[in-house]
Amino acid sequence: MVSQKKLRAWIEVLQKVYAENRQYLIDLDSAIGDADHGINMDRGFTNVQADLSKTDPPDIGAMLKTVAMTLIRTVGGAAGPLYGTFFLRASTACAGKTELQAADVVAMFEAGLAGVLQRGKAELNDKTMVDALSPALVAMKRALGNGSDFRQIIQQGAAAAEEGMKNTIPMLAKKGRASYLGERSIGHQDPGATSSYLLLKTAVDVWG
Amino acid sequence: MIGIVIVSHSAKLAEGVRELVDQMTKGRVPLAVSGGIEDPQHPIGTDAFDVQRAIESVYSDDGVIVLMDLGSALLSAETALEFLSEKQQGRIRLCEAPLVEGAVAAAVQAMVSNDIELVLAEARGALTAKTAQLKGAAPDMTVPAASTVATDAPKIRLTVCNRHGLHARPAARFVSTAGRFQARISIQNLSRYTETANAKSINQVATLGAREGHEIVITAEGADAPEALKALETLVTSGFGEAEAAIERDAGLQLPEASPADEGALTGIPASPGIAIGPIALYRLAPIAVPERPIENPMNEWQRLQQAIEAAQKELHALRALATAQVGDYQAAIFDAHLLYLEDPALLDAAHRRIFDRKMNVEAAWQSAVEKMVAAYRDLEDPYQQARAADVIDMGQRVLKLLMGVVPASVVLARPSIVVAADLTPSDTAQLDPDKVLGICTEFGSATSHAAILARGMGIPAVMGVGMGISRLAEETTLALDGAHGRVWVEPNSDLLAELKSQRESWAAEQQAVCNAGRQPALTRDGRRIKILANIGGAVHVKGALEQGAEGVGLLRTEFLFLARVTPPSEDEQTAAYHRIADTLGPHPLIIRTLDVGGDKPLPYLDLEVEANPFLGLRGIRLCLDRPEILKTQLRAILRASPGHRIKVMFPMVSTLTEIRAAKKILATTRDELSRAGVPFEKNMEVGMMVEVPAAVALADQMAAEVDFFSIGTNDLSQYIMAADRTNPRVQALSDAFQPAVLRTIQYIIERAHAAGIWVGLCGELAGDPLAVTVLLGLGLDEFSMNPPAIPAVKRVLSKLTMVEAEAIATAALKLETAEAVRELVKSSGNPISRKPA
Repeated sequence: MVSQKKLRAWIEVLQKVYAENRQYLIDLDSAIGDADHGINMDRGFTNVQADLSKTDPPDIGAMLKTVAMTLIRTVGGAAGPLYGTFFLRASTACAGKTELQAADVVAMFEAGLAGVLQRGKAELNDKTMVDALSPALVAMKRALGNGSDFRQIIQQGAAAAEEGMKNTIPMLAKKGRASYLGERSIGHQDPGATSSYLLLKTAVDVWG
Repeated sequence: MIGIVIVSHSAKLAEGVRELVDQMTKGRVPLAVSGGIEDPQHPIGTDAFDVQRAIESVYSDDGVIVLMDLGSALLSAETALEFLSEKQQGRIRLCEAPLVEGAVAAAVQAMVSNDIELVLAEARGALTAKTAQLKGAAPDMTVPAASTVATDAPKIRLTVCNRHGLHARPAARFVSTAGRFQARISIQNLSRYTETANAKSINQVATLGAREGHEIVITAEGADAPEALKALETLVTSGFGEAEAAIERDAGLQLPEASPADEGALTGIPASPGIAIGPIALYRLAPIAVPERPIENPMNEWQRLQQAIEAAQKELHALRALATAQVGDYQAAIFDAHLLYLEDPALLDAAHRRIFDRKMNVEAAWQSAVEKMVAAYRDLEDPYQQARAADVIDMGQRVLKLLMGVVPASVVLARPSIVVAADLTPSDTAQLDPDKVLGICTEFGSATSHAAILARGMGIPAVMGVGMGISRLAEETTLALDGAHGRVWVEPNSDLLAELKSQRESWAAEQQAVCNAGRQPALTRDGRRIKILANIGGAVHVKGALEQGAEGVGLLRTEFLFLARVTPPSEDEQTAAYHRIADTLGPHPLIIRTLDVGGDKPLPYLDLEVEANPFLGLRGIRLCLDRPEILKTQLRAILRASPGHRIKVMFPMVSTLTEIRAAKKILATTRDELSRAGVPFEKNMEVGMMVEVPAAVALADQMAAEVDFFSIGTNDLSQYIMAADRTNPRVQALSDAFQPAVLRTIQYIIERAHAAGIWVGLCGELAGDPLAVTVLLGLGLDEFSMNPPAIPAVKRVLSKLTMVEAEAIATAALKLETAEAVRELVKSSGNPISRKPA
């Protein structure tokens, strides 16, 4: 079970995680993109932190909506609309809730991923964040179906995301700036999949 | 109006695109940009909320088109839609067109259409022109399948008569006019064998390449098709309001009535009137043997062609100047067409393909490309278009000679002769010495060939298209020709010679008599002397005006000096032009109107902005006060030309006292400067103003205190008083100068002017309307200025009237309620026009 407070902690820690991984994400992105993913995620979540500190959202849905709006407004790159939509759909899934059961958390990720797919029109193996988020959701749903406990569900989700992230290395990019590189995109880990993995890994770290 | 939104990662790029679009639209299309993000260190990115703001800032129910660069711009634009209402979402289109080209195309189309799907289609098609240019996919001179032409729908064929053809602004006017109608309208350029294009598509219309002289077919299907065709016809035949001279062409096209050939005479086409008798001088175009040789480097060949074309352009400019001096500007403009052929993408593309694809040497490639174009013209049905083949040959030979280093043979005549040739090119004709050439006779050619038009301009009798191998006659053979009837006699016997000589003399006497009759001063039946002057648009028209009986020039439109050039005319050039005209006029007065242009006339060096309403925009004196250096140069030139002449100056489009005073102040300063520099000028030169803006009418008493005379410009005055555009067929009847409101305005102007002790002239079309003359005379108008051909008829009307009659008719006319009633009144009042046999 995740309380609103814990959920907020997740977001707060995410800010630190993206700040710490700023250079790492920049390096990944400079290999196959425009080298701004680290800058963008750091800026986005720093602004989220600032905006959240100024507001006192009544429920999780409202809080996630603030996250979404701030990301859309401040991230700048494609990650803005994509993570923005992720959190926007997630906020709708959590509307009015002040705590989330395991099934709610899975539903939240499912809604978020659906938003990402709708916005970015990427498919699995296009070498995008979907390659981390999608296996993660599959794993979480399976774990939920198996009656695993909340911690296991999140852990399995994060593990699948990590594997998915690593699987992007040999992939040929089909979307975004990296797709202009064609064959040369092969052999590099996708920065979007990496930031998505960090989303789940942080959830484990904070909620587990 | 449809709004446009530009989304880019880069604020600079977005602003740059805005700049390019605004250049085309002058801010008339709502455009918003969303570029970059608010992070000074890393400003590259997009912000969906900013995109949303941009969309909302230009949103109307007509819709919004969003163009974006790449990546997150798409995602942000899509995200932005989520934050707009469902109704708004339904009217917003995210467009995949290339950002720069798409934005420009969409904005230009949005100026003329509110159909969002059409604007979207334009944006999507925005790469067409670029693709055509870079890939050489310009329309070839091949005939498209007949199926592309609608067969049974109503259609009209028109010749584009404005100088610049259907480009840029005229194209936009064409499309916007078409856009007012529901009918499906298509347009095809027959002269270039283009595919049919959608008349409501700015891209398609502009890429038809319809230039001056090209023939177009407009087809319309739908309920309002007839109205649409009529409106488009008016637009095209009026030259998009661009040129006055264009109409002259049609006059030049009218074939004199052929009469049966006399015994023993050869019959040809009467091309230029007059009788000529003399020895023949054969003029042969030596055929040029075009070499074929293997080539190594196509690029070298292509560059040689470019150089030859450049040299040909220089020659043509020189030839144009020569022709201007000899026969006047209008005829000389024929060579502008040659200059256009030299730039014809279809021709250049054909040559390019022959050089690069078929590896032909440049001479053979050029010759072959020209021949193909010539053949295409010859295949056309329209005789006028067919006649253009001679122009293409002429232009082609010029370049070919330059490529091969052949010096063009010039026609040097030892003694006065009749030039006989298989065909004469305009270049050949322009180089003929009018003092040595008695006449022209050709085997081929037509009355509509440019050679014939030049011959008429030079006053050389000519018969074209005689055939019969006349060019194989021996040199020195005596020939006689009658250019008015198209008859030619070889070695005429002495009886015939005597008869022809007497005909020549009586023809000359007849011409003189016609002239003399017209030159009689205009007198009313009761002996009142009325001043009849001419409106002219250049030096070339002065002689003709005097021959028609003009007693001076009441309006010299100086635009002819300023149009169709890249730099403004210098003071010296203007002085010389005014001097020449005033010299020709001798003791007669010359009223020079200062430059009267606005946003509707393309003067590249003035960098005029396109205006939504050029006739209500920065034009006439407004423009000149905005660019005082132009006005000052012109006034200096006018003053310098004034000594010994009866030159007067007038300012157009005056609407406030401040304007007329500012113009007079510039004139005073100019006078002071000339005085100090010791340059002579006429110190008492009269200064007047056009009264054509209702504001000037209302201030007539105050204006009259500022000037020596008024000249009423009824063409504009009627439009402004009636708030009706003369070129819009739907309100044309309103802008009629016979409208009682206009006539009462004229009466008011004349009254106020006379009360202030100044005289009033009228230089609109109304002055040359025989029906109007009666009323104007009765209203007390002092001077009539009209297009020269109207002069004889007006003089005739005046000679049948007394002042008392005219005043009675005018008084009655002012009480009538409609323009038709005024016309009826004049007709029934015994105006000589009504007595003219039908």
